[in-house]
Amino acid sequence: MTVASIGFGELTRRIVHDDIRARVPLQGSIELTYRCNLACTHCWVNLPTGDRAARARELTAAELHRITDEIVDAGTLWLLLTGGEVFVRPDFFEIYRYMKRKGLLVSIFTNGTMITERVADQLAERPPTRLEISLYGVTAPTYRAMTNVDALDRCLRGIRLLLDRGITLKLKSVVTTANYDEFLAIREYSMREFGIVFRYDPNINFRKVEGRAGSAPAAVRVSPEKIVALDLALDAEATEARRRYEAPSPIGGEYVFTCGAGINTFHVDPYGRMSSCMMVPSIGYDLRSGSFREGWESFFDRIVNRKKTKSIRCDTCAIAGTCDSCPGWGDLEHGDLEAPVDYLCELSHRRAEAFGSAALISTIKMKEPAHG
Amino acid sequence: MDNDRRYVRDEDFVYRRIVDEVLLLPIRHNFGDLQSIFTLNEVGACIWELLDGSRTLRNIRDVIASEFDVTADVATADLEEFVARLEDVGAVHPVAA
Repeated sequence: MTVASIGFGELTRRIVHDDIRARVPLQGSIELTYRCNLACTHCWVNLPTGDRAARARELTAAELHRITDEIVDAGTLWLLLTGGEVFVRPDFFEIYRYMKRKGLLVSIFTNGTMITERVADQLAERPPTRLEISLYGVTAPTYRAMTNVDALDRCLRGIRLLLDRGITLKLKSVVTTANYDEFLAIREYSMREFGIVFRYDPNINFRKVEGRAGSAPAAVRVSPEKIVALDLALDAEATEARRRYEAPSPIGGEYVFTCGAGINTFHVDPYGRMSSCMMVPSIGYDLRSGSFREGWESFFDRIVNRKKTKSIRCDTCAIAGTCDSCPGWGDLEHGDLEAPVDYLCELSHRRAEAFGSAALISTIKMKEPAHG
Repeated sequence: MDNDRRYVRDEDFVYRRIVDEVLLLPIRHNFGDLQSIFTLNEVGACIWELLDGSRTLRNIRDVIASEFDVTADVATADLEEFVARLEDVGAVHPVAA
């Protein structure tokens, strides 16, 4: 047989080798802009659409073409385009079409509010591999409380325009204090109106945009107890959390990064700074000054081989390997790649108590005084 | 087999080699359908590169038979099957004689 169809999972398994010396940057993400037409209270990057200084600093389409050429040469297959809001860039389709033409499997994250008929038509012509829209609420007051803009109708229009053209998409939202009480309604609406399963993310990061780094988004985080209550109320998500926490794992080992960062994944911010992941802006490489290959090679020592320098409570925690905490969270929250993050710690322990085995729960409870 | 047929690759299929995999990626299809990515073996990759609209299937069959350890009959069967599959998914088109 000389030709065969293949699914993403199988393809990944075949390409990703256990040998980390074979490092191939298979997956990447690019933030095309930090500017956005919404002004969400939870967002870690958003800047006003009209921020001229930010716009002037962004990678041009020509620079993005060059980066595309380099990552394709290096073996990248999957690429996520995110922001900010990607469609505030008038040259989005010039960038997107070039990436598709080079054989990248491009995914897009968007708030959906700028998807007009023209945008939807162009996406339908060359559909993204994956398209995810944030649906922050299904009533105008909640949507506005989340985004500071009256744009719910535009978001719903965008979703319908894409579905009318047969584009597969996913709906999602972060959960914050502003939309927590509407979550069951959002989920029900998504299924009833669009036939799409809605998923949520409780993780809200500190801001990472230069000059605006800060903890403001954390003010809208929902308490860990209420997140677990949501896990239990939303079947699919509860199943996912249950699956993960039924058999959680410790983390162990001598290395800081245990997630594959710098082995198969990379990230590029709107200004050309490459990092191992969008969560770790502190270890970067300027693609305007050098090549992707040079930056990628530099990550071997700075990321892949980076060893722990201290003992932290996660080292002996039975569920640290299942927890969402990672060097990126520590970096954003404490400026320290190795620092634990209290919010995630409490959330993980509550989830393990809700979904884990009795033996595990007793282990966790013994460790509880270490929190905080 | 009509050995004088010629085929040309569709421009909306991108051919890539990544590590040990040879992939055909249709850029106008919806990748939400996971069956839209195709992998080729080395024979398939060689054939793909030869489907340039100028070579006949006979030319290509002869190249395959000489470069790979296969008989002309096996090369012919492989080529027929491969081209039919590519035509089915729109990756190649016959060139008018």
